Amino acid sequence: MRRDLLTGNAAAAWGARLAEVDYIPAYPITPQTEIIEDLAQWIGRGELEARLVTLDSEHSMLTAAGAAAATGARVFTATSSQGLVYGFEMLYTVAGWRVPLVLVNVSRALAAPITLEPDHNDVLAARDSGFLQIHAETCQEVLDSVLMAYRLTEHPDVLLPVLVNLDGFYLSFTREPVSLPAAAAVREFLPAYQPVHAKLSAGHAMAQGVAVLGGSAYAFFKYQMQRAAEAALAVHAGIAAEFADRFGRSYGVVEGYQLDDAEWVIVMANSFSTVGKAEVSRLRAGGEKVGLLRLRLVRPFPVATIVAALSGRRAVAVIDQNISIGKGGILFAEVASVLRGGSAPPLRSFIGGLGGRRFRSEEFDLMLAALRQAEHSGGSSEPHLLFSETEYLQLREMLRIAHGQK
Amino acid sequence: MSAVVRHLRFHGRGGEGVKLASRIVSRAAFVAGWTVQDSPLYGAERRGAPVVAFVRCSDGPIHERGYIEMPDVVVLMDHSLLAHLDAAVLHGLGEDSLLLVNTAQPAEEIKAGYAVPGRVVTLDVSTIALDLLGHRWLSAPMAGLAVKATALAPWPTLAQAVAIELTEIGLDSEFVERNLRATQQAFEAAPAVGWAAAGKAPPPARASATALFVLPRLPARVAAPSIDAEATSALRTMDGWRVFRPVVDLTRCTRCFLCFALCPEGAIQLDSQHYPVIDYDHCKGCLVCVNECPPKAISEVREEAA
Ligand code: SF4
Ligand code: SF4
Repeated sequence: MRRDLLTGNAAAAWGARLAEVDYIPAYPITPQTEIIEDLAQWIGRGELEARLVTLDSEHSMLTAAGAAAATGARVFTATSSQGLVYGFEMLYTVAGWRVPLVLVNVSRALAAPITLEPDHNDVLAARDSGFLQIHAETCQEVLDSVLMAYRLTEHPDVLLPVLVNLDGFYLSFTREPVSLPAAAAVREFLPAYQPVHAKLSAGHAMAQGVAVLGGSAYAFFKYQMQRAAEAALAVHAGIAAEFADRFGRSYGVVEGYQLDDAEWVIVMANSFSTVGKAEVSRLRAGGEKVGLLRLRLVRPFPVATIVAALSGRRAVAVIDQNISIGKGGILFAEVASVLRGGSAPPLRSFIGGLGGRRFRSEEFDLMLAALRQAEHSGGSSEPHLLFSETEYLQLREMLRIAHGQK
Repeated sequence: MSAVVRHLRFHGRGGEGVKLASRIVSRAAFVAGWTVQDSPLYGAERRGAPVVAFVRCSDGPIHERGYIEMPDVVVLMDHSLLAHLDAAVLHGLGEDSLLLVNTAQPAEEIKAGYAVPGRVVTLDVSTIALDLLGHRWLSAPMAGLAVKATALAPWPTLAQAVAIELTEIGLDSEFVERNLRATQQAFEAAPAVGWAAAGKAPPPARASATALFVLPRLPARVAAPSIDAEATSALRTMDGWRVFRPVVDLTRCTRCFLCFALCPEGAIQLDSQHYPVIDYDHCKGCLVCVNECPPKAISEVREEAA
């Protein structure tokens, strides 16, 4: 094991390198490109024995990834934002083939307007596709999650592709100390992939994703994907325990921060959770019993764990770094859908961090105040869109220029 | 959270090596045993556009990300940015913070001229770079200034950091050597000022919090991300982007129009006799014209002297 300063992108690339992947179909997009550049450089220097091929689009890239996985190769690929949605059709297709692969998404908000900074409308758009989803908070977690993702995707009870998400800029270009496990130790944790299904070769013809009409066959195969995703929860628990044993870092399907005795809970995901944790500490220092629940495994959605973590709290705020236009926060809706009955806490929905918008400290004070109110006035699902009056005035100034008013 | 986190914010322009300077400083702190985090922030990459980068150093965990609002230290690669309010170089500086500026001007002048709170240290790093590197490559010598002034790490540690970071981006050993000399010169010339006594504590909880701002709905005419006017870019001047100013010597100009055709900003017009005229309000100082002019009729003049 050695410790180095790595960006989230470099950590993702190291994950692929240590997983000793065979095949990397690639297409560049900011802020993901560095992952592919690192891998290409290592292959060029002979440090990684893999085949990297640049394709003509993310659609072709995902097709190539799925097809290669169907031959029994260990496949890694990465994209971001517009790239992910450009390849969208193939997410469903490849997941339906039940082939294992790991796709890293570097979150970046979707156009229009166009930006380079993160939010999670890109990755969450893929939540119904059959790809499992792990959302990472730190550069270390990116690397570790890629390794765990291979175990998960290749497990015979699962065989669904896995998407590992990291935030653009806040992780992709951010360097932090990262422990790099030794290659030999990783090889023990993650031995070479032995396909039990889908092993296309010259001597073994197969058809993937055949046509089925009449409904029941289609439903059967889709239900099987649902069953496999459900099974992934137990599989993940086993992998996480083994990972913790070998490498000393443990990852649950969710992570609690100052949660045990928390009366008020904030639910967040991805790298902005770090900021949320600091705010929780600050509020704790002021005597407030606040805790944070970070969602890590978003698909499959760990229902029982979330119910257990949130039931009986005085009130819960879900902060979504995404927006389902016309509804509100996607994770709020998911969390709310599993909390029912007498011990279900009142919930409040906040949208923040869109396009990388920074959270303000006072917003956490105000969210806590809203939770106090919620305890008495009960349920509400209207999202509150976090924005400050100062920002609003700055925006009006920008708009004035955009409309040519001097 | 009893960890003391030190915050450094770097300001400069695209092409000045802001990100690399921040990475060298953070690497030096990492090698010296701190927990560190570094990250740059930029838009669509353009030479000359303001760029920021952040370094956090801590004796414990770092529960922070993104923009540094209240820096202990601001490292300024280019003092011309002080005049640009949009760049917000002085944002969040207080009485105990430290501003490190690459300029030939004395610190008192900068402090008084821009009403800088806290301490100011200046060093003419551009001249060191021009002398020893033959170019305005500022990253390593600016890191020398920052590491010395903050006493973040001793010289051998910084030298190691410079070598690691420059080798990692593929520079050859001879150029790394020259950078080490430039860094050492800046390191030796800079005073060791040190941090303020305590790291900045996060502000306490606000019991006075009242209500969240509710964003009003505006008509689509203003609520859509469109630009509904011509030539809005003309409203924004770029003169402060320049470190070097292109100056045309008309006696050598052959009126070939190349500079006019190739200026990426359209900042060169032709007068009635078809001689080039540079619009210095919108010239960003990329020096494409200087490089492209066949008879070398355009020279670069350092902006402070222009
Ligand atoms: S090409 Fe010359 S005139 Fe045009 S922006 Fe660049 S330096 Fe200025
Ligand atoms: S490129 Fe040089 S010679 Fe040609 S018009 Fe411009 S200044 Fe004159």
